Amino acid sequence: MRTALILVFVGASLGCGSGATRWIGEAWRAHAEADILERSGDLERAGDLLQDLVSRPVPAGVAPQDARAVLQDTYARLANVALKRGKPADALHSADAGLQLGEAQDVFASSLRAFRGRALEALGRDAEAAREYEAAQAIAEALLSEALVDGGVR
Amino acid sequence: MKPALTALFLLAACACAGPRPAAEESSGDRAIARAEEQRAEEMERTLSTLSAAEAPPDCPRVCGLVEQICELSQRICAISGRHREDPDLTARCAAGEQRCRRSRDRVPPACSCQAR
Repeated sequence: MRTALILVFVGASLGCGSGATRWIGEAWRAHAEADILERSGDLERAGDLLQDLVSRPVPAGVAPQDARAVLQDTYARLANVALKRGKPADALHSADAGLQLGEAQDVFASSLRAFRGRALEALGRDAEAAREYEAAQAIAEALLSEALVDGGVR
Repeated sequence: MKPALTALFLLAACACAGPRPAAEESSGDRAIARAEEQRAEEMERTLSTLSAAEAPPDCPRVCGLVEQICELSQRICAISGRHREDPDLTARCAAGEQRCRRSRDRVPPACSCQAR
């Protein structure tokens, strides 16, 4: 659901007919198809689809922050799929790839840090995992502060 | 809160009513008009504050974040539980639990988040 919202928002901001819009449309379709494959238990194909999406070049018309949002969300999902498949090393690789795109105090960074923590924990690297969980928690706490201010509660 | 806002609107509307014809004006009238104008401005400021305070919190977002913070705290403490001899992990667990409690305390009364 969150992915769909991100893609609709980014797509709406791009206008129609551009390569950027096509990329957003393809991303939307890839996530929708991955949803169906995940529900049917075909995690391998779901992962392949998402991997294909992050491997494609991003068209020039996409704003860097929009490209980062779509790609980081996809990398987080790839990490989750890899964890479900019992492949923590792949999950760690996906989380790292997502974080390499840049880090802000946002839901994408928090999500990637949390998946990185889960991958490290599954690999037996507990102390590192705890640090990642703590980093994810700190971002989530900052986002909570923002949500309380945005919602008019001070 | 709504009756208070309505009353403020009505008072502001009265205070902002148009000026009377110049012939009727006296220095006393002008002083009253100035005072009314000031009162209207003050009420407008109060109204803005009340409106801002009434903006509803985004409860699903708030509850989701609190849940996430507390789930992460549980994960940190589960790791700490496996390494009881590690004071660093013990401290991280305590800090995480504190974050979880602090976040739950910040949930506005309008949101009823389900604690797991």
